[in-house]
Amino acid sequence: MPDTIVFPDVVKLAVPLFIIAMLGEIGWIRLSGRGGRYETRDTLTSLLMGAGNVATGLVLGFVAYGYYTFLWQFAFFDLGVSVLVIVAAFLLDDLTYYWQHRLGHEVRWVWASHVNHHSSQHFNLSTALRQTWTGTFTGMMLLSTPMILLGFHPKVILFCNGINLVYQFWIHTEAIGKLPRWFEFIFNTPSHHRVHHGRNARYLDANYAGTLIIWDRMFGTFVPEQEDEPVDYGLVHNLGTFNPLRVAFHEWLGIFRDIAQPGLTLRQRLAYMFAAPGWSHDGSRDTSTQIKRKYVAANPDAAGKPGL
Amino acid sequence: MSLTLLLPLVIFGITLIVVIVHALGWSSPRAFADEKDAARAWLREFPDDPPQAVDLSTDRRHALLRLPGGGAGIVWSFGQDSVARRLGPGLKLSETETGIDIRPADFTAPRMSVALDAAGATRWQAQLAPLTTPQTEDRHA
Repeated sequence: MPDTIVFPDVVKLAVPLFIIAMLGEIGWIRLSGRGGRYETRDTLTSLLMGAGNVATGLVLGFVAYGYYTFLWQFAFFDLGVSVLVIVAAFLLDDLTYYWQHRLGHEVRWVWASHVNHHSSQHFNLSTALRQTWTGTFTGMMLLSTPMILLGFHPKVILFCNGINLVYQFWIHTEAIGKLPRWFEFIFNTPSHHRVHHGRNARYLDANYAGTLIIWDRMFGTFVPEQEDEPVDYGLVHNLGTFNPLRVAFHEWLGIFRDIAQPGLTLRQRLAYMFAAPGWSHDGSRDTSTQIKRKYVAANPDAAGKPGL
Repeated sequence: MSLTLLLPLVIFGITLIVVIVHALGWSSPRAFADEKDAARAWLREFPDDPPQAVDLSTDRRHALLRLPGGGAGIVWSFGQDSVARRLGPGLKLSETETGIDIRPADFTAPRMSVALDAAGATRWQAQLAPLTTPQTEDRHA
């Protein structure tokens, strides 16, 4: 692929649309009296996290891009740029995103970066912008290795990343109910993503999709939104601070405090870093699996229902 | 989009949205309706620990809970929602003009300013007093 080809930075170009859409959502909630909630400090925190994400991208973006371009010299093929290549890249990148996102919930080291996105008890378009500042430290860029070696140029992959991120903006809303069945079957939608942000036992660790919900259906993590169980948004144990610095770094600090405890084995210290969030050496905390198990024990009728 | 355009746009966008949300009256903090409401908010985070007693602050934004086994918990309004924590050793307590300040050793909930009358402040301080000094293990026990 010629180095002269330049792809637009779709995320930055979408910023005006983000602002207009949030104003539209706020207006809709105000006029209709439904479709979600906004709260001043929560909104400010989400927007500052978004701005911080852009800033850290400017400062640390070279790490991922440097890795990609280093890897590119070892690519087996050069697939170039065409509509077909971009469509194929988007599909593979979306599959890569699914696994990156799933690891973001199932491995504490990656969760430490992703947790801030789930730290709001609200679910509106500003929540979409509550993005990580520490994604570079997770090493999740490694998951793009197969695509680059297959011949997808780093610029193509970054372009697809951007489109995927912009797609995911509009699904952070309660203002849209359920869409036509065919669309809900194929694509990630507000309904599916509401489930993903739920702290209800049945909704934990579900619907990791970026753009296509088919990955969750394929890998067994799809849970439909239940009419009889409204989504309770946020974390299992919610944050008691709106301070963006605390939001961005609290789980990293938690990891370092846990591994620094005296008397642990090396295996236990590693588990505090890489086991599921909620793992503890003394059983004093619960993982998602344990929370679901306890919920079913307390509510036997719920056994076998979606997500449980 | 160049940084010289992006930066003012982001600052303008954040300011505009936050000002509008505030102007719409969506800054008002939640107050618990009563002790049962505070207990429900607690159970939302700790369903396995039903509180035995609930002591509401005068503005109904904080509640101190007595837990089974003698433990203590606190639930408080956080924006329009709530947050709850079990309270452990290492608390710092201080009196204020309107009640007490609680500073747990918790990076995610560093401070709670609780509105209490004199009697309430005495009750809360009495319940929290055992947690304000670090517990030490008796290695000979």
